[in-house]
Amino acid sequence: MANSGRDMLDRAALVHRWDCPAIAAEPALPEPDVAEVDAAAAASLRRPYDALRRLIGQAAGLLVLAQASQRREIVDLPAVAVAREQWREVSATLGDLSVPRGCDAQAENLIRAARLIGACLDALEASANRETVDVSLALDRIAAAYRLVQSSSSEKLGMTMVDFRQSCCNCAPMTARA
Amino acid sequence: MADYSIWILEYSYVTKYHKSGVLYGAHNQGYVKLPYCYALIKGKNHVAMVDVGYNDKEYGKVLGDRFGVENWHNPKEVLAGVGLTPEDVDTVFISHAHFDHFGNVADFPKATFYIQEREITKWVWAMSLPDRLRWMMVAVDPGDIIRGVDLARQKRLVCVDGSLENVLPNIDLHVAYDSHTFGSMWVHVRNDGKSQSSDAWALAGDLVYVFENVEGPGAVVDVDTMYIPVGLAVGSQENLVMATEAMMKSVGYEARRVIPVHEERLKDRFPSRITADGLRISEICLADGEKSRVR
Repeated sequence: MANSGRDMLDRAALVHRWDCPAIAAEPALPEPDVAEVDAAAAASLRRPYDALRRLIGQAAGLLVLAQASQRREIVDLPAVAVAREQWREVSATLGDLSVPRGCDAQAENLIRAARLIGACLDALEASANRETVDVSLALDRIAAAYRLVQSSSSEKLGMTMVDFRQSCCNCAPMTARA
Repeated sequence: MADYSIWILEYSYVTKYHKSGVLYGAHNQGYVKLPYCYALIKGKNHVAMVDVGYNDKEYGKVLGDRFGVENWHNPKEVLAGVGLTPEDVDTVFISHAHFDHFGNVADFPKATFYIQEREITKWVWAMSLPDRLRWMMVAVDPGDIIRGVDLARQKRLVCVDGSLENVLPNIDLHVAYDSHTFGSMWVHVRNDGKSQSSDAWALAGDLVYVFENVEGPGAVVDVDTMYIPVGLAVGSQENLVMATEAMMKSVGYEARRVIPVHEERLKDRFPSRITADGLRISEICLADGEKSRVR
């Protein structure tokens, strides 16, 4: 993809509301051809995917707390510093990533999502400097990041947004195998 | 005198759920049907719900294909069974943040949502833990938390810190920390309006899955019945048992007044009917002057 195209996509994800129709339908990427992706390479993508999924959960939870409570000190919680540190780690991982064959689009989405999560944390911290806490901008960014990560999900590579193992329906795969 | 009507509305189900998931220690005892339901409370000029189910648009195919969840219907179709619409709902109590309870807030555009603050704070904490501890992070969709942010932005999300009396007239919220989830909440409806109610109901969320969690076989310790905790929990069995005790105390130790929404046999204990969509409506109680929706 040309740089100008990439810039346009990043800009769209950053400036549109998270439910804007222009970007609302982030198309799901096709499943990578696993036959062409060896297990180690797939694992190299799964790790940042999972880190981003969890960072999105952390950031969203912090936004809920900040917005609902209107307590500015939320941004001083250790959880924010932890999220920052983990964001730096995953960004570095993505920077050094050797993209598995056939997974370029997934990797590209994850890189964009990581940028958006960083921008979300920036916006969260900035929101505490206002008279009333308003996390709208941070929400736009984290929701866009969610869509990008979700669209990169792959059952075959073990990359799914919800871990259902503790859920109320987790037995069905076992019964299906029985 | 009764102020509120309560119905349990099935919106989907899993036909074969391992019994050890609903009942601690019930290993190799086969499967039970697990209905997915929410509770609807109507009265005192309010329409309230306990939980909102999940959104089939987001995860329906995943659930259908991988987990055997069947016959999902949207809230518009389900609430029509009691003559209401999602727009009629003004209040929602989220018992916990699992996807099948907190996963469909968008379908209730006029409701204010209540959730325990601890459910969010410890979710943030759990998601920050290393992989070896990821067992504690499961069954919550980060997308649902994002939708929670939008609710908060619209001033439609209230994070409750502990118990809250009279959140609606004669309806109280109670928390069971570190039980099924980090901040599971149950709802106490005092239907005679008295603080020491003799007509109270406890809507248990997933603190109780089935009747045996409240009235389990007690022969092993030479009693008729005893509490047996649910099988799936991130917290402790002790906290689950003590939450059951709190719920039972709140209803005068009348076990039938603790309502487990995942219990298929509610139909045997309360007047019920199956809708044209093949889903069950159980009528727990009726307010004065309210007509039955199941007869």
